[in-house]
Amino acid sequence: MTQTVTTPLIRPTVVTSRGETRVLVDTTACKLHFIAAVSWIGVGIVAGLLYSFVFLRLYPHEGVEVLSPGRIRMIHTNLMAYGFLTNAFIAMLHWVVPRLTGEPVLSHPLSKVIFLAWNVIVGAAVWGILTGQAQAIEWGETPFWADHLVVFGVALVVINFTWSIIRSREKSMYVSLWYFTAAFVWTPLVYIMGNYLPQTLVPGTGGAALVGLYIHDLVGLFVTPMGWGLMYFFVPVISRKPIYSHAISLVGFWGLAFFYPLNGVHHFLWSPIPMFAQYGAVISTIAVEVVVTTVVINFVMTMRGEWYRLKETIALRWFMVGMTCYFITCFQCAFQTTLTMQKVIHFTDWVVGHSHLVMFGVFSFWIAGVIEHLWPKLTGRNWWSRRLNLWHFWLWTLGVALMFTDLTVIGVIQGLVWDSLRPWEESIRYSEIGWFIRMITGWMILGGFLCLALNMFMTFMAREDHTDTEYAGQFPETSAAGARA
Amino acid sequence: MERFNFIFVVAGIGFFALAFVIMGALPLAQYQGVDVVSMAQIATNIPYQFEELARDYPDAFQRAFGTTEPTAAAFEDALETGRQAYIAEACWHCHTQQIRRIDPNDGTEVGHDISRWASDTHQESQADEYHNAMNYPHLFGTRRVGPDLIRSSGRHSNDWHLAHLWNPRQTSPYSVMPPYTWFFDDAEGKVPNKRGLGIVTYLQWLGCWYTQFAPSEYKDLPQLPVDEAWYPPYVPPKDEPTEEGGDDPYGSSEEDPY
Repeated sequence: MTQTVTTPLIRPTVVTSRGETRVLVDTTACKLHFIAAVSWIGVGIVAGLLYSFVFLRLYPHEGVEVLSPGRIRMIHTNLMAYGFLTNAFIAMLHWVVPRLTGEPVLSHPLSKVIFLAWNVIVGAAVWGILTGQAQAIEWGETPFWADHLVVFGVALVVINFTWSIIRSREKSMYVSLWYFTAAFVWTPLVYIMGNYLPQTLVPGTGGAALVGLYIHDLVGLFVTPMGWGLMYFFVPVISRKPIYSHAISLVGFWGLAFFYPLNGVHHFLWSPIPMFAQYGAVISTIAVEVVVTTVVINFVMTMRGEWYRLKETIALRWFMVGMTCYFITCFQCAFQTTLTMQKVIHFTDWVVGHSHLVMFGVFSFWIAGVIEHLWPKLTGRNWWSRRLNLWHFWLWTLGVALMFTDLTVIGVIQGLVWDSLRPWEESIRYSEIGWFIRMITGWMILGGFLCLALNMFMTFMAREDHTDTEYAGQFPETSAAGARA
Repeated sequence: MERFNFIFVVAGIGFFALAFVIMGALPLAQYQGVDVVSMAQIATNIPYQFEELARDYPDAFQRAFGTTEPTAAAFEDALETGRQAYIAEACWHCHTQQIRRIDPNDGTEVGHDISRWASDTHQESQADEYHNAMNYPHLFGTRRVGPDLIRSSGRHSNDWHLAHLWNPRQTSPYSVMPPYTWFFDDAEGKVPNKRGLGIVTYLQWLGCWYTQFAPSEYKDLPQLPVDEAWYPPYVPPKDEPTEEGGDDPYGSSEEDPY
């Protein structure tokens, strides 16, 4: 199906914004990063599922040092952050940034070097954690020696893509690029602040304030801007409608940029950190929730009249379910961050449910939607099976919904049992059923992942294009191959 | 507001720096001029449980720290080892080190954290408890599957800790904690290795700053077999009242014992 490109955003042309004839998009790097991302999330999901067995006293590798549950937990969270999310974001940046700027990245060979270097770093970090060299920074448990490598890798990524933005002769800078630009500045700063200062210079409570900033900034200043930037690109592209309101885009971006960095200390409420910082964090957190709601509204309004397409286009379905999860998360966050609610729910499984809803229900869903959209373009083949994609969607959606509900409920129960000063063991006994349900949801998510991986593999290996036209009409863009022509 | 340079400078660097100052540097300024307690200073108050470890596991202690005596150097070594093990096994992902006073407006209620973990001192966690060389970085924790540990010193004996690490369900039937058999040298969990001794030392150190321990009398203790040393003959208490008078363990003064 050949259609002309109607939006000026997408220009997979060989004539760059400076009039040079260049290969614009490095589809190989894009593909490699997606493969790496999906591989790492597979390992990460298995690690998470294994960890859920610990709570049922059914852990299969008791007494094996390198598979100690604590280490498996760190593998779970760090692989999701650095293995899955980062690889997937780099893949998408390769697809999106040159299209928006009209300029290729600094160097395509460098892109391959980054791919290799980054995944070697992730592998080394996994090895370091499994052999007991972890660092006690939440979301940054990678060994301290690996932190230097991560900074190096992030610097390469930033230089590679920022080059494309700086060189651009485009008249205007699209919303996605605002988010990416800011994230390219924030990510290295956040990483250096969180991993180096508390480890070397700032002990105790002062360091805790910085670690609080780090935990939250990694989500708010790296993952969130990347996610929103990609949504601002892919939702209009796939739904073929322009974004509802430029003004709301501005409000959303600048609100996030101002309030999000101030949130960190809300991870340590009621702690010895000075109260002015805690109150400030609570207030700015509530402000952030208001701001991001405007962004959600922007997308919901963009989808006006297009909702029927959710039936046929699974990618849009992923995006909108993710958007819904995002709204639930933020709505919940505005309440749970108050000091009153923190009395009960702090330290409980409520928080675990919240973080899964964000990192899995929102950002992983968005990435799944992008993979759904891009994988046929990257491989030049239609999806091997639509049915598998639907299974993937429903297993993950129902899985995360059940997990979130379940963990939220037992989180409240745990908090109330603690508050009632009953023996500690009771909070564990009351949680057992919830932990069992969480294990079931882990299997659902693993099942969904297997559907995705099998489908991607079979699509990749297919000798020729499938002839079914279920996906036809879904690709308004010129194919990736067009960029090279 | 839609230009690269503006976003780079204002949003990227400016807002981040603003947040760093308000949320990072200002809280840090509260501790300006307060010296970080060094390891050497920490080692001036060695909890007696460390001496017990040296006495109860002399061979293991010798192998681990190169001496049979609970010296300050051995204590520093043990603490550092214990902290490393605590981080490597991610103990801090299931055990917090932070006691919250979660209902400060109520004159009587101090909240369940203090009632549960600080019923002796009635003191929530203070910043100075963390202002030492053992908190690079801090280990507050964000999830509490098992008990809080910041005041765990003396809550259980060394033997309880070792039995618990070998098989948590021996001591806490409903625990979901995994066993840490690699903290032991033998196949029966009777001989802790350096990490085993270290983690017990670390746990017995947490919160020990509320107690002043006398300088070690280790050398003067008779080197008896463990059984005899641990079960001295029962001596009934004397009937005479103490000089301070009364049964008040804190004497007659009205001072807060803490």
